[in-house]
Amino acid sequence: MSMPVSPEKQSTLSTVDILSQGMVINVGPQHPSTHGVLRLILTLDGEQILHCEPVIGYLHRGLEKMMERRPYRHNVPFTDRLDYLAALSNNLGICQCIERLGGVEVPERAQYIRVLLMELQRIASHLVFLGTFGTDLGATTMFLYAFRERELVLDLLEECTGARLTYNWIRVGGVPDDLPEGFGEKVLGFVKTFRQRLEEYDQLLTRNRIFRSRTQGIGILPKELALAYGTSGPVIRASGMAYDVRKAAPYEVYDRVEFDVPVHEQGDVWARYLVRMEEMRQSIRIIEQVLRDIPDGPVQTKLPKVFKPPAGIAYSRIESPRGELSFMMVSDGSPNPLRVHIRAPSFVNLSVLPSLLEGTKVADLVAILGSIDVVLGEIDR
Amino acid sequence: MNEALQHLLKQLGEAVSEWTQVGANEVRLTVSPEHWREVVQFLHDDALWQMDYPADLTVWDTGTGFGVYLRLWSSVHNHNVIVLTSISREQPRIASLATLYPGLNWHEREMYDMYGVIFEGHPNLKRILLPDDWEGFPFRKDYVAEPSGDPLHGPQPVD
Repeated sequence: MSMPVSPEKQSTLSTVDILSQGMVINVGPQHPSTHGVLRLILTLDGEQILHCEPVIGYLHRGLEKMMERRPYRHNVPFTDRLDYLAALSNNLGICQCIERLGGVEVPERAQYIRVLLMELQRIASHLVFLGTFGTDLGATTMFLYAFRERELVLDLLEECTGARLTYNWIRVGGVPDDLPEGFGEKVLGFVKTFRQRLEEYDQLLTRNRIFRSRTQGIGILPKELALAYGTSGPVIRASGMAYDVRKAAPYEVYDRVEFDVPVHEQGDVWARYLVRMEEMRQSIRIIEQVLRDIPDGPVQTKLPKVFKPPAGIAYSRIESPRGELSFMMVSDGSPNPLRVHIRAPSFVNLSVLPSLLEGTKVADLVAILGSIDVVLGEIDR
Repeated sequence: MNEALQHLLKQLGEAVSEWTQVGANEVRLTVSPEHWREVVQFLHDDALWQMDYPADLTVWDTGTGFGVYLRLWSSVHNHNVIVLTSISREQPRIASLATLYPGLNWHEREMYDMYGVIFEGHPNLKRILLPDDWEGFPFRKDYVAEPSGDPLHGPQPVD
């Protein structure tokens, strides 16, 4: 038997009593805007996200364990499969760690070559961000523009290393070979073109009103939270913290080149985009200085066939395009490492996502996730 | 750095069993596991340290026990501190730092996932990379990493 409902009550029933709270929806793991196999469990109240739980591990290969079973230098190719958009950065990270463990010196010319390649790699990686981020927000044209220029960088890297994605080109004690003949001129030619192309991107995206309204004031990460979560790279620099490993703990020859660390205070999606755009300009500056100053000389230190570093603990940290990439190794004096640990910047940056998404609209999810720029290969390892 | 280090040793002398300074702004401390949380809390709060950035946390299997490695950075002083400790294989327990540094939440979950180390006081200690029903802790040195049947269709019947 139903109770009679008064006319006033009846008019409110339709909107108020509909149960909208706590609807759980699933995003991913196969979803184009999650940039890999990332799954998010969202609890929604209408359009608003109440809670987000990232589920990771779909790409877990146990690389750290695999590395324990191989001699030190055999582990470098594995690192190509971590952050596959910046394989050279990972190569450098593990090589630096092994060099510190074994006290290996790197020739000066090799250090300059490494810096040159790191910055080319940073441009290539940020261009992927730019293209996919534009596509996420509906600016599909950006993808074509960004990948056109990325192709130029990949051609350069291919000429130098012989590969386009998984380079495996940094060695413990230097680099395997000198730069190819006339490589410097080609890089300078690219730099000249790229500088103009950056202007095109600004016209297409930075001054685009729709793009701005989709990104400005969205997904604000306060500075305190960015620090307490240990975020790094463009994510922390967009929140007003000038933390760049290239400045905080300079490695290779980063203390001999001049460059600025772009910092923005707002901490929103827009700021993270701007930081990456300016970083590409700074990379160009570094590349030009490296090509001007690079000395002649050997590119590799000779190492024994069986490489046994003394027992101990060592770590290295570098500024990969995504943030602080750190390798930590424990040696017991045998030819294989006792433990290899990879501190992947995306892993830490993703852990801040639930706090970022709380209270935002579902429609902004894609923009916020895209602005963190995660690579699942290094999150799952 | 020197002043800060003297201050730390004066305040927490009995907790720190070993210390080495590496370069101008890095120090390595070895502490006993009972004082783990106390030392880190001091580094976090003290005005001469202000280690506000949780850089890294990991565990390794020494064969007889587990080593724990924590790396902190100070955005104020540019200090780097590595805190090391070791815990036993039978009682792999250590105080959680996830409430002090939210950034260590996932690191501690990962180390529980791979080594079975219990971080006491962690708000959400469950597996992170492996499926929830995974058996054993694969990064331990005594873990048998042999496949048990077809990975796509589960364990096969033995005849």
